[in-house]
Amino acid sequence: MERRLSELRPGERGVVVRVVGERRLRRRILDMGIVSGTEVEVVRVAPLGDPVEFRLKGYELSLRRDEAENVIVRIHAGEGEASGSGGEDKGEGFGGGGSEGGS
Amino acid sequence: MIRVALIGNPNVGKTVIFNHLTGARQYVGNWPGVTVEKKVGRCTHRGVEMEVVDLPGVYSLTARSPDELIARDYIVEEKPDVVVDIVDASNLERNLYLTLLLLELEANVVVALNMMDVAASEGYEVDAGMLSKLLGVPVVPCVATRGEGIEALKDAIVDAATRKERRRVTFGFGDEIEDAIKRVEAVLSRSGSEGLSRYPLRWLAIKLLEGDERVEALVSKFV
Amino acid sequence: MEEIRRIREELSKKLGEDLEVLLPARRYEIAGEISRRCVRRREERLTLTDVLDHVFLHRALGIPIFLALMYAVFQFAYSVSEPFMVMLEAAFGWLASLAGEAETPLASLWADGICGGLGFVLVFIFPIFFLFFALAILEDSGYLPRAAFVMDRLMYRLGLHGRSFIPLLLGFGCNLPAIMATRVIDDERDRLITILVNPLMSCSARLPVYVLLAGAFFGAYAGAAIFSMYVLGIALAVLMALLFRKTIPQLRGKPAPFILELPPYLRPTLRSVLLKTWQRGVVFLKKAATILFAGALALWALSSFPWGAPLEATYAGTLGHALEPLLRPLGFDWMAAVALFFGFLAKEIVVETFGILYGVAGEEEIQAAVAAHMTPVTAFAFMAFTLIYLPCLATFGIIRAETGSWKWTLFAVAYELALAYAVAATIVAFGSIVWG
Repeated sequence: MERRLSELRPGERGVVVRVVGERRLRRRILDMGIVSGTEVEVVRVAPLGDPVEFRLKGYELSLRRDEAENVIVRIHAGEGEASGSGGEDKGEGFGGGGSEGGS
Repeated sequence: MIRVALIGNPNVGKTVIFNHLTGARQYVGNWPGVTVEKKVGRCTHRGVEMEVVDLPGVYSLTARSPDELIARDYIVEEKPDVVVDIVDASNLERNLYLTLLLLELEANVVVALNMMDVAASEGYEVDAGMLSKLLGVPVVPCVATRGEGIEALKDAIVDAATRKERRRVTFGFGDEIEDAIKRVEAVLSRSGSEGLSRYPLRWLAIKLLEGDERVEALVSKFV
Repeated sequence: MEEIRRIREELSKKLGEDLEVLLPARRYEIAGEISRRCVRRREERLTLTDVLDHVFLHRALGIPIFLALMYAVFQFAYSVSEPFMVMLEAAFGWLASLAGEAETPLASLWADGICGGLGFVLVFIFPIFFLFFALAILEDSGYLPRAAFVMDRLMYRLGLHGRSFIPLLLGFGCNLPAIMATRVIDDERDRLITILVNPLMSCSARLPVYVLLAGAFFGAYAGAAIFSMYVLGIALAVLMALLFRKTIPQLRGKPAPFILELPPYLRPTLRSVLLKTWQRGVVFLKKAATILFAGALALWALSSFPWGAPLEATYAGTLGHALEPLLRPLGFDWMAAVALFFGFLAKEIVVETFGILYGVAGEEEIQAAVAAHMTPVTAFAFMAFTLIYLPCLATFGIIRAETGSWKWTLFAVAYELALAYAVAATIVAFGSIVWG
């Protein structure tokens, strides 16, 4: 099931499907590691309801809700994995065409 | 005299390392992007005189913010002899994003793997040797707040600067993309322009495919 | 170039996504691969950061804790510095007395101009340094992003950014370093607005003026009167920020994205904290103190010459009389006008100016003299006027330096003068309606 990251509650987790939105903002979000395939967890919400703290790739990042809205995630089905949703081919990832640096 | 640039994510201890290298007195801030001023210092090691520039803390080099612009322009235009990429060991994956961008820029990178103590206290074990092997560049573990690793870092900087042939490290993005990169490189080479030759060819190609406005503007002048 | 664009479009179609989006993803895949091969998680440890954030960012406790911390910072700065301030004043008093009765211009220069001026200025070094010290500790510990996280929603509603909070907060100490601190704000418009409203944060230099007047007129309610100035400043800053955001074309648009990393908490090192305190304190010393001292000397000169002339006939007095017509509607006489004029050099000087004008020295004496020349309503209006009317010379200079533009600097002065006049006039009008 696809949701927007801004809709998730503390404790919930999702895997990023895609990032939309205004070019500048989108680029910044991507640069911080919120890319397709990244797992993001909601840690907490600020006392005034906004922004929201997320955990991804081993660090904590906070975003406003209207920024997190641009991130479409697929949430983990709690009881029993959603069938066939895994294994999206993300490509070679490591050393496809160029030479790998090595000593 | 060699020119050394320090770069890294915010909060990685870049300024602490800058102070250790240059003995200069500067801000040490947790708050990202304390100042956009250029901080320059001097350092002499094994008879080699170094000019060290502290670039702003950045997460990326898309040049969409003033900090990133300054950092990227400095590396691309000024071509420092060595770029020291300061990486937070407790946060490796995200920090490596910048490292990869630096390698795309074909900068002469030395990685200072800092905050090893924080990584340890969070329960991580980081293998600097393996990292060096995979990246193809020197990696020096440090705990800058305790002054550990600084001498080794200075050694690595001098070595990197004086090393004659430089390994070009490339990471592949997959067949289709690599294909497109080669085709763009061909177009650029064909233009045979002098002005473009000072920039790394592959980097130009990648940036053009990404739709980077500044590179597009630059290339339009010659192609 | 066209060909290149074609290649790009072809590729996007083939892969179903812009490379601008795909490449970061690919890079992170590579980074992730490398990271996985180099890092081993020995154990899942609960870090100090997790524990602390549980408290500091607590849904209910987060803001009270933040406010308490801010209060503690200011309390610390002012109470710890007090004994030092007293000692310094005594020292300068003694130095001044070496000149005897200050009958001659030279003796007066020493006693009133130099010792008086220096003593006056240097005394404020203490709260400033201690304030910076406390703030440096907060900064190095990693707490500040948490502060921005907690306050952002409020700031955002006010057309500002979470990162604006700290510079505005610093303004309560001194606007000069506060405006320097706006460098942490990435977005130019956010930064400009923060700089423009910063002088409305009632800095510590204005406090002596409030203390003097509130003490003279409001007795038991003096504390409340002083506090109301701070609140007024904040309220006006919010109003102006919203106004600027909506009306000034260059400043339109939403605040910059938040996207803020929350780094681990670290133990501040004494060396780093002292370094920061020193660096910032030095800026204050260099920029502010020199100007303040020069201003104090100028005040002395303008109010002492022509030598031997009665107060009204000195240059200062002439100036005051010239300005008086403008300020009469607010209930300010020529002496208040002179005081305000010198307040441009440094707001602290207002108190000293009153002393010189009334020919008395010492807090209580000055208060008594002021009480004879103003009414409670005028005094309150004067306090508000002092709060708003313009940034002091040093702050004026830093605004110019940080914005790089005369246009914005002069705009700051203009809007503040207009606002000060409007507010003071309102207070006086309101006062006369209610109390006659």
